[in-house]
Amino acid sequence: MRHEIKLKKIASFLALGLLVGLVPANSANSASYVAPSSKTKATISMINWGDPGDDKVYAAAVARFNKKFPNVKVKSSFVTIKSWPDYIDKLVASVAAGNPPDVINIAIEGFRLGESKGLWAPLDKYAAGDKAKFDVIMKPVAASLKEPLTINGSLKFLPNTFQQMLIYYNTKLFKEAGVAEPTTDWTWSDFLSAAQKLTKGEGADKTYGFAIPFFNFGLSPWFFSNGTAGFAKDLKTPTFSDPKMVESVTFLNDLVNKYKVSPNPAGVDPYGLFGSGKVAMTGAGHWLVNGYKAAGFEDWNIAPWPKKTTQATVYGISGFGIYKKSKNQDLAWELLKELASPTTQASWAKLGGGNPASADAAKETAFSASPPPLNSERYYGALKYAKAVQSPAFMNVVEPALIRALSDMFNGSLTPKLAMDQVQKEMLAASAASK
Amino acid sequence: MRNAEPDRGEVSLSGSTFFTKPRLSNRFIGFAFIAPSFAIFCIFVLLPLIACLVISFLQYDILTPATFVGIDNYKQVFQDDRFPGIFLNTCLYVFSAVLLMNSLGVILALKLNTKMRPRLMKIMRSIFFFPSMIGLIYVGTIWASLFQEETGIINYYLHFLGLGPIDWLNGKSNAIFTVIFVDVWRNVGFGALIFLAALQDVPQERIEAAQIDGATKSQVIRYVTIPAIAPAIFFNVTMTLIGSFQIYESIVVLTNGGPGDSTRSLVMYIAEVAFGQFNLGYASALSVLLFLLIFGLTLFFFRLHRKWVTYD
Repeated sequence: MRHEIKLKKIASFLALGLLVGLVPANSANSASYVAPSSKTKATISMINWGDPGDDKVYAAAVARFNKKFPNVKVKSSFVTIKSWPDYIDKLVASVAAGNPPDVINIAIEGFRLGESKGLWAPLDKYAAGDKAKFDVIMKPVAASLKEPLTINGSLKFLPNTFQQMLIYYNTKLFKEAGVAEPTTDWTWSDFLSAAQKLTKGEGADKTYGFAIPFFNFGLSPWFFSNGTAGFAKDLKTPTFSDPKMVESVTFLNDLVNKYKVSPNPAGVDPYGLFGSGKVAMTGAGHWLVNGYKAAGFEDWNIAPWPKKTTQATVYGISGFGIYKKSKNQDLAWELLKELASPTTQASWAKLGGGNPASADAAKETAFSASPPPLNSERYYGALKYAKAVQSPAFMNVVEPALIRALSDMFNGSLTPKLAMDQVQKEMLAASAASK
Repeated sequence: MRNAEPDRGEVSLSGSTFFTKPRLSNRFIGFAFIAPSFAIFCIFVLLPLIACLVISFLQYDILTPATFVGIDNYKQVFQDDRFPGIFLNTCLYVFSAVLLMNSLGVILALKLNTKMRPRLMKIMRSIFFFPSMIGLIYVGTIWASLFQEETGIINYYLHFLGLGPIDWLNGKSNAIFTVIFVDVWRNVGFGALIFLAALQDVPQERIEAAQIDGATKSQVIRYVTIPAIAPAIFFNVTMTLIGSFQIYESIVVLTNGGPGDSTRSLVMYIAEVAFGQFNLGYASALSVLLFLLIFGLTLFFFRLHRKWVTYD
């Protein structure tokens, strides 16, 4: 009997515990969100990045926001960037100086880095409380693009634009060399064969088959298409010395030093060379399109990345987050909705620098109607087989270490194996230091 | 030499002069004059120096609270695989820059100090001094485009001579000498100008006396001219020594420290550790060590200069 009473007591406690534990959590997520009054007076700040001209899209979003909140002043900072470390430096400097932005636009490369420094406010309560508007933004976004926006089970970002790596090829040079244009299932050996046929001339008149995009994002498709990656799924354990990673960089080294179909990529601008017809192929995302169109360069098309073991490429998404210690989080959420809205996505489709995260926007005529490329559906289509760029919490040291080791490999100072062992050692140290 | 009038607290009393404390108002005026400079020095030099020293004992990444780690950051220098190579690069820069900038500067100054039409002299001086006036970023960008392996004009003309192409910026053994070349090219004119000014103060009668005694041209330079301009050489050696340890911009633009770490300087590495890796503790420890190294070498030079520099 006493035993029975005791069991009942335990059951009651458990039930109470469940109620205490679950009800508030549930209510926090599902409680309907009440937007700030349109009369609210405040100043909020945001930091954005992009190409020249992208700032107009952000300014238009702010103007729409100000129609709803005319008394809220938005201090906007726009950074034209060349590399993510530069942008992250600026962001960290503003936070360290006690002047952190309320709204932060950042790419996947900085997601986990910022998370490890406690920068991002969770957006789950807004996603749940403002569900209808949240769904309008998120429903047209591919599942693979949504995934990186959530870190450790908590939504931290609304989507902005994305990029992916595809092979850009010069249709005129292919035709002149009598080389068939790449197929959708071409392999590394098909790629090498084409590059060899396209490499011609000597000295100043030399045309190369391929210019290697020499940065982490540009190198990643070579790893992914060989069924490997620099880090395990936990994004903490480095696997750079994996034999398949060594095989991938050996292939790149051979392109430069054995087959001589690529110039040494260190210090070379692959996109300048491709645009001037000095190389027949390179790898890039959508960011090239506007520049080439403006320059009147039209003899190009895009193809999927060639495969070794599997068809794959890399993609990276950027998103808008709210600074965790922001005092105006509700207003920041209102601004976030404008920045990620279908209207903004449509603007990206028109402007064409990045791919709009929304599939609806990507299908819009402005984005795909004016070739080249003839097959612009391949930009969004690449998401079917692309993998997110690996971005651990110590991302700021990954690219410098990789580029340092590979530049030593390309100039013959290190073998591919030693180069990858060097990166592995540095990444083990970085991973340990980040814990 | 003593001034006839009492000055700065000197008081004349019954024909005898002795020192007393300056009046308060005089002291105040003195302090007021140096106050702006002193404030700027404190804000931009002294306080950052002290902060750097303090941070070197912390683990600090700007965004999360700092923790005291004792001398761990200094110990890390000896465990850092990249440090020895980067330190050697820096020593090579310093040695080459001090040697080349000063020796070439003296040679240029001697050539410019010959009898020349004043207008031509002005033109020549301007030509040699011109590179020093251009921003390092522009200098680096221009030379980087000239040195490009595939598209650079230098390899283009070498090709016509049946040479090259040479990988000026990415070849492991070439890149560091390319950086040294650009740095020396930019700064040698400044040194030459200092030496030229000193050369024009060398008493002509001393040179003529040596020539009457049968000294050859090279003997005049060695035994008369060089000792006479030794203070200027000492000044420029010290300045190039300090400046070369801080080489940064030209490397960033030309090679960005690559290939690998083969052209990376210590200052560049400090910037990378501080603002690329957000490891401000270790970067500060490296900065403190660099400061001590420059300070020690400068003191050593000041001691050494007593033996070979004479002031007339």
